[in-house]
Amino acid sequence: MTILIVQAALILIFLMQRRRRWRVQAALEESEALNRAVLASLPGYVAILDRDGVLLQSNRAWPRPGALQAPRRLAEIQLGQSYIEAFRKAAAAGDVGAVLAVEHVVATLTGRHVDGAVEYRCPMGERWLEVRAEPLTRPEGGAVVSHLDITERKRAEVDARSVRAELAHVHRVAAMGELAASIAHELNQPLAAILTNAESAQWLIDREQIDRRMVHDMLQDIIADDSRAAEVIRRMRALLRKGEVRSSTHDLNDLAGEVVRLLSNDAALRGVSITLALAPLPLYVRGDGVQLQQVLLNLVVNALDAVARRPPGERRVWGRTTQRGDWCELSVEDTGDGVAEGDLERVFERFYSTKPDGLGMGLPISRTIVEAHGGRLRASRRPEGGAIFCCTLPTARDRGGPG
Amino acid sequence: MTREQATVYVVDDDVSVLRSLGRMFEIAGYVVRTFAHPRELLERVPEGLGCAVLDLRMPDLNGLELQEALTRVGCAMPVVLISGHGDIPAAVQAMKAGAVDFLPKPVRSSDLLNAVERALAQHASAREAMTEREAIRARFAALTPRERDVCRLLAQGLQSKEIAVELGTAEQTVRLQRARAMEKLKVHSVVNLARMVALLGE
Repeated sequence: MTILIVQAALILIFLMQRRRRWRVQAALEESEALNRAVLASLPGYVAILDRDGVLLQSNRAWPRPGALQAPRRLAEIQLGQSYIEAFRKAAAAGDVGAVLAVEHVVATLTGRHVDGAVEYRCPMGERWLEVRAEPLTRPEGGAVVSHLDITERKRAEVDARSVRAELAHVHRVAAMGELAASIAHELNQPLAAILTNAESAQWLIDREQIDRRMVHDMLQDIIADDSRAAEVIRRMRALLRKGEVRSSTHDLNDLAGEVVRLLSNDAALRGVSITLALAPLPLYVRGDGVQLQQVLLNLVVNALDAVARRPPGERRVWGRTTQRGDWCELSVEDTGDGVAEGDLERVFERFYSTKPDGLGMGLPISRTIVEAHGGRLRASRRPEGGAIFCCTLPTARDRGGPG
Repeated sequence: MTREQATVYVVDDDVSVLRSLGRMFEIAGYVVRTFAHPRELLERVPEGLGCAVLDLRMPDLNGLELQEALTRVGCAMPVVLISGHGDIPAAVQAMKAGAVDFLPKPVRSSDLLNAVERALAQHASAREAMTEREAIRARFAALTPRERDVCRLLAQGLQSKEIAVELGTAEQTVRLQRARAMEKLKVHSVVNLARMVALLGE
């Protein structure tokens, strides 16, 4: 009798264990099905890598080798192949963008994951992918790497940039008109000296006794003044330059000094005194020197216009630079009528202008440029009357050369 | 001519222009003094025959203001203005203020020398006139008070008889004083005497 009970118990236990295994199996299968469904539904190209960067699984969208319209770089990596090796090889062959992408993935695999994405430009086909890597929290490690096609977005960005550049160029050309008086004067000085020296040299060599030393000195001065004139033209050309944004390190003090120099004749003509109060040490910022100068030019010209209606002696403009830790600050102050409290933001709107012939584009463009450089442009009121326009830019981390 | 004794004073804040003008005037035979800062010219006010060549637009003190300042300290030296700005209003203002000429830069040496010549001729004749006036004034001052009174009344058109009544003396005395005055003043007619008195503003 006891043997029967024991046998029954054993059979029961066996059945129960089998059922548990079935349940576990079913749960596992369900989980796997869930995984597969999720993977298949994900947009973009998704890969699951093991800790060494080998492709374990990919979603349905993952390109097959030879697939048209698909990023070749990804199509080259199939199950069992090393994602990392493929990208590293590409980088060595000259695909510079691949470096950033693979470093991001490697960092995630080795526990140094940083949030965020890396933009990768496919060398053939001009597609842009946004690469994101997430670590897999399991003992075997690994990562999920997704690649989202952001080509449309990038194209829109480039378009917007070129429209902005176009607008900025137009604005620069318009601003040149305001500088016309300064340009004419700056060129007239060296031209005047050249003419006088040339005529004097002619007299000298017509004489019985030619004073060679003096003729030599005159010719030397002519050459120097010619360079001076050429420099003026070069600077003006640079200001008018249309083209790609160039990035390098600049000292705000130098930029400010140059702009004030450019406008000093104009200011003198209008009876305005411009005072420069510069920080004692250089203020390094990264960006396009021409664009930054354009902003400063805009601010100072506005200030000159603002004080025009003041009686002579009360037309004052200040340019100040200050270092504030991670930020470099440049402000332009004037003794004009100032900006009304409610208009402090309005002045940055397109087509808002208080000048009868104003375009109303100077400040919006300037703000766009400053913000594109990671900075801010604000207007405020001067307690004693007048306006302050303050531009802050991030301090350049390193003083490397052109970027 | 007056060329050798004349001094040209050049003021321009552009170093290269200043140097070229200095050389040019020297070669042309003038004595030249150059100044980069307007105030330097005011520090030692020029005397003697000369003229100033000033740049119109200079920081601190512009050409027009310098011209005014010179006049204020009693310097009658004529001024030629040059400028790199095409500044019509300033040019008009300069001419109205009595500048000899206004020349835009770049300026031809011949034009500038021409203007300087005119300026110096102007200064020379003004100085001559002034010297003469000084001489006459000295002569007038050498008259006795009575002689001066007679002269003034003669200039007003009064006859000797009337002057005698006016001054309460005899007509004979008046005639004598008139003769002495005319001798001292070196004039030969009463008309000229009257003119001279008017010139002196007596």
